[in-house]
Amino acid sequence: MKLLLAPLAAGAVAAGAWAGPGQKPIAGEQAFQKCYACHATEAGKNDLTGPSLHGIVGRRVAAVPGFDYSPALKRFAAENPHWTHALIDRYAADPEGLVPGTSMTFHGMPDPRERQALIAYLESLGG
Amino acid sequence: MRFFSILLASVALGCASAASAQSPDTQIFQLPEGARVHDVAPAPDGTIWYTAQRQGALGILDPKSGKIRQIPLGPNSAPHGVIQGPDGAAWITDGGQNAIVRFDPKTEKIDVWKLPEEVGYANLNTGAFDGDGIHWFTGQNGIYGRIDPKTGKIDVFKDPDGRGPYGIAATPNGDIYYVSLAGSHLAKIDRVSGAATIIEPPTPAQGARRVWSDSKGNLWVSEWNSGNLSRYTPATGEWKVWRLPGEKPKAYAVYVDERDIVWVTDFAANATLTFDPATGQWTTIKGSEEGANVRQILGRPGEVYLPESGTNRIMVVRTSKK
Repeated sequence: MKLLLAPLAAGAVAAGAWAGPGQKPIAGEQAFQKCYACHATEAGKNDLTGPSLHGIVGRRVAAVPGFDYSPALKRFAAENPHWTHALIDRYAADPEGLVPGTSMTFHGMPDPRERQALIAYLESLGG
Repeated sequence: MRFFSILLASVALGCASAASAQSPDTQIFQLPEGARVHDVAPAPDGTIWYTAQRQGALGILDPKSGKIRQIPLGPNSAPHGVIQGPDGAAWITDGGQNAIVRFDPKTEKIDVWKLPEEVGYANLNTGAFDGDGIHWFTGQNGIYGRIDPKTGKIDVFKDPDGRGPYGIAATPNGDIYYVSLAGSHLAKIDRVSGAATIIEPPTPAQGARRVWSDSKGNLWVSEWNSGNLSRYTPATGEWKVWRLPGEKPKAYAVYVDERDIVWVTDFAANATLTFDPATGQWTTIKGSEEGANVRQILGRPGEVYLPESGTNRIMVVRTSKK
């Protein structure tokens, strides 16, 4: 996972995504607004429509205890056990395209720079 | 604007669950690849409008000929909801453009009203017209608002509970109610001041997703988290709650047809259910394929439209012989 971090952060800097040392990446936080209605970023806050995205990078797919995942995502998890950078990128681009039948209602993020900024932001939250 | 050939299939679907035996008259239309239909609405000329969310377009399906056209709505468009306004135009809540979009079917003119800059990304969801012809809308990131079609003036209000405003509907007397998925509430809007009064359903954290009114002005709510269908009677303030049949139901869309039959989709069962409040009887219409994911329902007398976001199809259910 760490090997993937360096190029991702560099890409985010190049895109002007970071606000400064110790601060959250601005573009990533803006990108997260498209997720905000259904996902929290606080650890353990899983009472929204979607599970918390705290620590999502590297986390097991469909594995938050007690969360009611769709059958489609559970099946997907059997073949794709972890939310790698690449997998999050593909899912954010087209959720229903990657996981047909997912209950997540999001049309996708076509701009790869926005997706990278989002992933960098989520990673910056720790977890 | 492109024309597409379509796959057209008539099927007789079986019924399941605690349902009466019935083979509804249905027809399925395959939409252009990648359109990813979200919502539908009847158009004045008998065609069906749909939002092609992935392609930033308004689709027009002629169920008689099977012809489909798609009208691009603008850069970055990702339309979620569509309804027919009292002016006969399509009114679209466009999350991608963060705007309310109007399509005039006579002139094909498109008007785009972007939300004020200071509102930020609203995640626009659904719209409804009140009795005075004002268009009200919800934004899942925690807002609701209105636009006056005559002036284009937009007012945006914050939901008292923050994120979550989702479905919205008008009652026969022109009042507006919306529900909050994350806030788990119903709300009535004061059409003058714009203030929202929260009405708590009896089931905590139920995840009120969509709402529709019956002919008497009762509000029917689909509860995503609880799997319930609930009814609020404004005249008395009473609630009544029904659990959807089946295991772990997930109620998404709700609609009440002209006969006051309630339609509700259950993601867990991959089905659309009808419920007759007079008899308490449920019937089940299975999705055309696994993972159909019907996220909204609308229709006109004699017809109900089920947009399947998962299969990119529209199922037309004919409820009366013509």
